Amino acid sequence: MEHELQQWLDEAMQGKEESFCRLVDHYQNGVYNLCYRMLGNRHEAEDAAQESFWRAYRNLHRYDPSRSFQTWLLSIASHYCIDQQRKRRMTLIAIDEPFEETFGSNSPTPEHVYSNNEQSSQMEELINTLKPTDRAALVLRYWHQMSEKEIADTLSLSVSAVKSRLFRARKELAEKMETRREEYELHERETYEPQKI
Amino acid sequence: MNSMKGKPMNHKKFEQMILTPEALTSEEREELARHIATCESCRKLSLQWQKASRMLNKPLPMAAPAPGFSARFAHSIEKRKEAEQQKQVRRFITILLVSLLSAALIFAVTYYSTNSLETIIKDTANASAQMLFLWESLKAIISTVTGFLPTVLLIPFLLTAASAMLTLTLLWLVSIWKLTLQKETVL
Repeated sequence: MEHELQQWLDEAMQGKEESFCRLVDHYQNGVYNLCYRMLGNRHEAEDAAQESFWRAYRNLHRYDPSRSFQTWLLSIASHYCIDQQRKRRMTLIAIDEPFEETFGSNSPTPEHVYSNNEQSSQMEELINTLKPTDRAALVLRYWHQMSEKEIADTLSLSVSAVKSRLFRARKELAEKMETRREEYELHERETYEPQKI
Repeated sequence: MNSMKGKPMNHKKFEQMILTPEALTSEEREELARHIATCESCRKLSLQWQKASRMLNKPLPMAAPAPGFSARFAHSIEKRKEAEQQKQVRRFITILLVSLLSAALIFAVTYYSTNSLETIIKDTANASAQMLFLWESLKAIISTVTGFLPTVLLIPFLLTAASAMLTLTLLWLVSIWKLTLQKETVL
């Protein structure tokens, strides 16, 4: 697979559109997932992912082959999403649609899915309150399992800046966690208790 | 709460330890445990982070795009290329027009400030006749060329023609300006 990817990349860099589309097919989930986690909306994530691939295609001649292609793509997508969020000047995105998660073949039980979705949704909501770059660092760390060095490369930051952003984001999450949990439990009680009677 | 036996505590250091436990040595872990046992705010932060960390470290599901993502991208490439090309053409035409207008303005200011009314009227009549002739010739050339030129070559052709026209116009303006200066010198 690695050999094939390299071949498609070489061909794409020589101007072969079809090979770039194969790369899009291969990397679409990673790029889309990042955009989705950053923007919190399926429609915007689709647009952002498409735009990120287009920017990558147009700037392919600037790609440094010594870097990981995936990191380069995610870097383009991260910067685009950060810009979009700054444009919107929104600190909190209302999660008004359920997150569409893709589970593998070993899907958990419906109760487990419900519980997982519920917790993921809470976490998403909290992550969405973070500053765009802090959010990007956190998404890359936990959804893309990137090291601090990789995050630094992706976001064009120093490793110490990434550490500081991750620290800030984690602290903020931890502090907001309790408040949100209490709010959520109160909301749940208000919603479901009358049905039990 | 924020001090131990009345001494100020370095909470930042312990917060750092709480939030990045993976980087701690066993001595640091012990130091942190001792601190947490006596510091209420750090104990609270530790508990909160443990909860958040458990949720973050769960195998998080990847969001996937709707089927046909790469096909949609492939389909959009042509449209995006066209849009980009149109943008470039618009930019080129804008630059061309601005240059042309600037050159015309400079010429007009120089010309009207250095010539008599009689010369201006005579030159304007001559220039109008020349322009009319040029315009008619240009229309004839364009209609002839577009008749047999394929659509792909039409934009490059129009761009080349526009560049040539700009150069010719500039040369024409410069030559008239030079002539005006010569006339003035002779007079």
